[in-house]
Amino acid sequence: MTVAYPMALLALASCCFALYVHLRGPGSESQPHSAFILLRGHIDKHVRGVSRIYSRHLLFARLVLFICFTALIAGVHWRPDGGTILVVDGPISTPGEWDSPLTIVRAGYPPTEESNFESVRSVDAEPNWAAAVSFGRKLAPSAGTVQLLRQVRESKKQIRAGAALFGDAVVVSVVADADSPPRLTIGQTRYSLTQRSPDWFLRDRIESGVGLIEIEGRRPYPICIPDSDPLKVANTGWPDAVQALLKGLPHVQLVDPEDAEWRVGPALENGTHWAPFAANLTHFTFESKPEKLQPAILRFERDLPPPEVVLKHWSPLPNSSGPILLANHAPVVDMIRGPSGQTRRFGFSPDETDIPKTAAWPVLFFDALNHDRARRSRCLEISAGHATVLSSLNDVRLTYPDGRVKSLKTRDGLVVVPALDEQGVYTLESNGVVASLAVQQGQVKEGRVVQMPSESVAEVDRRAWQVLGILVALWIFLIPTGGRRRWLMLVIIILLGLSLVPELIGDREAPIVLAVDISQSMPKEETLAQVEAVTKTLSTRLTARVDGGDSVEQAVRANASLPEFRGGTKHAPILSTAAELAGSNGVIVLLSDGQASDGPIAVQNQVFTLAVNSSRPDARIRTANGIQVGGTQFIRVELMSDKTVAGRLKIGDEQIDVSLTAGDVQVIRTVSEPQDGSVVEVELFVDGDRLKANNRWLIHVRQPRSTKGVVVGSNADWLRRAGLNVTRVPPDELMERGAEISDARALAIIDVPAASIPATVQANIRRWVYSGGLLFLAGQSNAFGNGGWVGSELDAMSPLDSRPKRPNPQPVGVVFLIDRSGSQSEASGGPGLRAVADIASGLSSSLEKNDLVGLIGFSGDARVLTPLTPLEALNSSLPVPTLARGGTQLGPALTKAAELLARPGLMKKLVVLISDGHFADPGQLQPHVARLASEGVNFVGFAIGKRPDLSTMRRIAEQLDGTAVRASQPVHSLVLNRLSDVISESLVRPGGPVLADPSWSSRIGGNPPSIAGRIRTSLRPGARALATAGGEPILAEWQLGRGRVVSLATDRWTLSAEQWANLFGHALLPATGGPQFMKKNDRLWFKTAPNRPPAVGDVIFTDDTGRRLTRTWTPSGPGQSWTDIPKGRPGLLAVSTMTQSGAITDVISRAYPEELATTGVDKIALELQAAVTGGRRLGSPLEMKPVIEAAGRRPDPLYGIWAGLLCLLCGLVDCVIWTRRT
Amino acid sequence: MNRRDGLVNHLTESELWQLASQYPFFLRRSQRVQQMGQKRNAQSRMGRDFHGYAPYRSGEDVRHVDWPVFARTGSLFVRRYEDESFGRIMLVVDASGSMGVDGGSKWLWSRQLASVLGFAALQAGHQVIIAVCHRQQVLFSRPFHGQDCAADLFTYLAATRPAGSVDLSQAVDAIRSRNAYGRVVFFSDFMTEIKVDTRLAWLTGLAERCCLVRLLKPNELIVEHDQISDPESARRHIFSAGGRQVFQSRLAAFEQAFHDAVARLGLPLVDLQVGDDFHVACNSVMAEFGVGKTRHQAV
Repeated sequence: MTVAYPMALLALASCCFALYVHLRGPGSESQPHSAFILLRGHIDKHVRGVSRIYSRHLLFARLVLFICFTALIAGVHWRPDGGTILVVDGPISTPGEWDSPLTIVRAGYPPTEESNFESVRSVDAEPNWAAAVSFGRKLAPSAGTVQLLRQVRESKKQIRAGAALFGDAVVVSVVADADSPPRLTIGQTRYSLTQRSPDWFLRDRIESGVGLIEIEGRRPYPICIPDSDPLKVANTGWPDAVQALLKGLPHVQLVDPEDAEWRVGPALENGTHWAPFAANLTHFTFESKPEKLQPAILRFERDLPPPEVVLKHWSPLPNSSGPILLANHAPVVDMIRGPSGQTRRFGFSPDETDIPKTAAWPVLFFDALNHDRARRSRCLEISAGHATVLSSLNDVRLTYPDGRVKSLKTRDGLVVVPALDEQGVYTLESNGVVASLAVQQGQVKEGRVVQMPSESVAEVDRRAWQVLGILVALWIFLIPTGGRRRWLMLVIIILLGLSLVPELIGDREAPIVLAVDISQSMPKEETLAQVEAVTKTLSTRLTARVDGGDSVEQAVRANASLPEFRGGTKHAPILSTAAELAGSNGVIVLLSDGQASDGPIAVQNQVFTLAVNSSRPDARIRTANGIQVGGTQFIRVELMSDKTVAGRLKIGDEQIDVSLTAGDVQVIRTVSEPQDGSVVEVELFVDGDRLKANNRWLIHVRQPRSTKGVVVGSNADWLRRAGLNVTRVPPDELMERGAEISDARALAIIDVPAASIPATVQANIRRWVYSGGLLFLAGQSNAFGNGGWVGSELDAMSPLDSRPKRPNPQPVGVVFLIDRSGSQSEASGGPGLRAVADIASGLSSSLEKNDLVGLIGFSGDARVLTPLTPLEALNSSLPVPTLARGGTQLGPALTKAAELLARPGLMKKLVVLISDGHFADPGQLQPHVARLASEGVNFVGFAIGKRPDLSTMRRIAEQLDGTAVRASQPVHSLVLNRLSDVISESLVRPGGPVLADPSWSSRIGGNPPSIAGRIRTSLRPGARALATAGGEPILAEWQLGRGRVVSLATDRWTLSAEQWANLFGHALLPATGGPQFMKKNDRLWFKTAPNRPPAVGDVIFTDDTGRRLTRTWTPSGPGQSWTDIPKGRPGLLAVSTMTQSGAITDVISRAYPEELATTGVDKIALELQAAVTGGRRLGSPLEMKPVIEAAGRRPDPLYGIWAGLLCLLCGLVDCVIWTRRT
Repeated sequence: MNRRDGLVNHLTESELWQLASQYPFFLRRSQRVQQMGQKRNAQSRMGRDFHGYAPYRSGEDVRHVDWPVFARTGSLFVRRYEDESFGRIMLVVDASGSMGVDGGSKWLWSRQLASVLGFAALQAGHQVIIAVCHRQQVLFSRPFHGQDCAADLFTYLAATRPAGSVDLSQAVDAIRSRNAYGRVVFFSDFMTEIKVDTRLAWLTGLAERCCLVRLLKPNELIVEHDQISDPESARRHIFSAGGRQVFQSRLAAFEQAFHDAVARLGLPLVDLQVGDDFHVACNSVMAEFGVGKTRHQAV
């Protein structure tokens, strides 16, 4: 028992005195007399009622009353002295021997008292040790021992599972060491999973919602099953770039806008929290009149491929809470959520940017599509122990897995679901809409006993003694007594009764507990000053202080010193411990920067938040990476600061002055000679930096495993300067040396005619690009249109079309004059008419669909075999004559051609003559030629055959401003090449200045140098131009599969090494796709395709001292697993693991802890934390008035003591009176 | 062996038995209880089951004396038979708190006198029932019959400690409700009722059958202190000035009413003062059931 006050001895002495008085009191000296019976009748006349209580009862009642007073004054607790508080996190089978009595506390959220070890429900989150110890101390203030008992968690019995969308199906992956197959239960439906090493999987179109993975003898594991049905998208109203994309996206069903889940419309409510009861509706808004801001570089907020785009016209989105795309760190694409649905906002008009031409565009929409498809299941997977904030206008009913129901009130449209500490399916219901929370077992660390105040902060509840005292006094009051004694008893009853009602008398203010975030990111000096200021302002009102980061370090009296600042930030442990110390009426003041990883915490007490502002800056290195390509080392460092400061950045031996703007990311790039070793130390120096731990970074300079580049043709120096190891392969050896291409990261085909590369090789190159290769197509005199690329595989892969864009949309008229004289026949040594027929099949590559084609066959006479017909109507065939005979009269043929072409609306008129040149009427051609000249007809003559005569053709060509050539190559290709050339007037253009397209700066950087000459091309739809010259593209790129094709319409250009490296960066980076490691926060993720199993087993980290640390993969769903990166000082860690996709090794940089990555005050988080508990955010430590006002009132324990003493005095007076008179 | 402990003689069971055997014990015919339909004919006992010999006590019919036994032994013995008609005596002992005052001497006397009377009745072949009035209850013993029940009778009385209040009229009502209760002897201080004018009214109609043995301490009816307590409860009373005299006069009136009632009802009363010679007191009581003197005296 606890006897807190020495005056209890006085009270005890009073008991003895009462006993003595009683023994000496009336009746003890009197003699028993048998005739008393006569007296009895006499007295009974004056006693009301039949109940008679005599002095023995009175003695007993008085002793009980005096004992009550003693206990009341002493603050005796019901619980006996000593004993053990056992804090447990689950069922314990062998608790061991402990001092009785045992107080068993479950370290949940919130802590609860348990009756026995076996029935304790498992805490599947990090146990709430500190709050549980505090709670236990309140239950058993005099317990001598506090012991934490951990349940035995059998890792073999654990289930890890997840589900993901995979096309139009859902993939479920379960990793469990089980003999019996796991089963997936969704509602009433059960699905069996198939075994696949190392997991069990299911790929099917299954119903969405929340599913339970059940294995015999294990606790069911809840997962969310995404909805795999196609998304209903409005078929109208979209910008062109979006409309075009939506038509091609899979799992999209185009419907009328009113039935659609995706539609264009005004923004719905603004919010950031999960809205499970919202309609499945997403509005899209596009900023049609963007503000003209400075061009900005786009980047994804999430880990998605960089768009490599510069936005020229854009508006930063106001009140953005869920950014997706950032322009100079201002959100330009985001998503806001509200109770009516969600809105995806675009701060630019897609049609005015070139982002639709980048790989990021489909990624952006595909990501959104999958997100919104999955969202329809109204299910959220959360880790146990984390609170969840919902957006809901109505109150929410939360149903626990065991059937308990809790009502959650909405406050300002938000509902905070308290931290749920037990794995299972929790149902949320509001207004008839049902959603689910799949609470999965969280990560559990080792716990320890926190230091608690040596004097118990929890005060003894004296009310029980007061109530007992009232009852006993009432008992004595009812014993027939004299007047004065009755009055005394009445005084005792009233006094004790009054001391029970704090509102009337004897109350005092409820405690105020200060919770201090002492995580690593908190500025120590400012925090100490704030704590001191708060302590001074609240002075005696401050009852206790709880200090902690991600767990509680200590709970102490307000004036104790602060411990070392370390660890991350979690509000749940410190707030729940503070709540236990504050009691039901108390108030909590939270001193934090708001950067907590566990969201707002719902506690019963009001929480007033106070930010720790600092005038000192925190500049930090956001990220840094490096790559060594050939003899060049590229370092890229991103810097950030919460205040505008100037400083120095040291990269290796180099020092750079930097100027940082508050909130903006400053990117520093350096190109240098490789240094010794692959590690470069980067350090940022800023005067007065409050946190120096995040100013240092170690870069592991990567060297691409394969930097092999193959050059076919000329200008191998371009690739070499970019850092690739170049191998030159002549075009005619490509077939034999195909294997050399397969292991190369880049292939450059520079100034090589398409005919030089066999079609089989071109097809292989296409496959190689799709699998991740970089193809660089360039050239001028023998490439694109000049290289006969039109219609080839090379042309199909190129983002630059070999055919330049026509200046005029009118069609071209082409009349072929085919010599069908006897000399043309194969029998007489001619090329044969069949060869001429091949021209027809290639026409479509040179001409547009609406171009008109005519065919005239001539020998002795001329016949129109095909009048001028649109190309698309020809069906790729020309009625070429098969019989060659007779003489050769060209004149009539020219006249017929002039007749055919004598029609308006033709952009260009062309006569193509194919003959051996031996005409019968060379002298009579003049009038015919003159007519053609008057019609503005161009002329191309091809002299074919063994002994061609070019003289006549040349004469005609001179008059018609055309050409006459001898066909040394196969006729059809020659014809087609010349056709393009003539129609486009001239493919080759002189050089000049080059204009950078918007993407140039983000993609290549620097200024584009002028070119010496170029070949005309045009940009294909979907391709992205990087540079233009004379209004036509010269440099463009696009993505093909996992690979990329870059086309350059020149063979002479002088870019810097860095620019070449940026251009060929795709080849220098590891190939995308396939299994890979990703470092996110303090975790290392293994990610591969959802149809692949997740990684299991061990992952070995080796730090720079050679120490090996083994961790285990935690599978978290189809194709993904994670593990914690071992904590330690910043440095490099070699990672090695064996997966189903083979052994993977990598080197990762262990940076400063995640806690230091986001510093500064998060005012919104602090405001939200205050709002969910009914408190508010305080401006300064001096503004404590609302806190003091909010602190409730409660009985003053001291008043209880004084009341007890007064009552004791009354009781003694009663005894004395009773002794003297009956 | 007699011991003197203050004013009270503590006698052992065997001493009391010996004392009882000294007294002749008779019950009037009207107080005998007989089996239904059995004729009371001395001659008719011939052929009945012989139970044993009993010492001849003065006053017994000399025809019952077994003379051959006298011839052999020189002592007078009478024959007893199993089916011999017997009397029944009920001893009502007041065990209220008032009997326990002043060390419980009244209770001791009361119980010893009842034992002697009971033993004498057993020795005379009669049936004895003890009724102890204790804490507002009347506890009837089983009927004791035969000399081997003597120990039980003694133990039954010795097991009780006086406490609480008693209403003897309740005992009388209980007795009345039993058929064939024979002779009734009350051992009490008769401080059991408050109303003076109806004293002993509850014994009306029992005068022939009952006998009152009143035990009082010397000077018990004199109030000497200003404070008195209730021996039957924990209550105390302090007399105010002159209150004691008033109470004393009430007590005298109460005493007078008792004697008036005894006379009016014609009740046999043995009035004893605890502290006198127990044997004298015993003689007084036994005189009601015998010739008034011991066998020694008879002899």
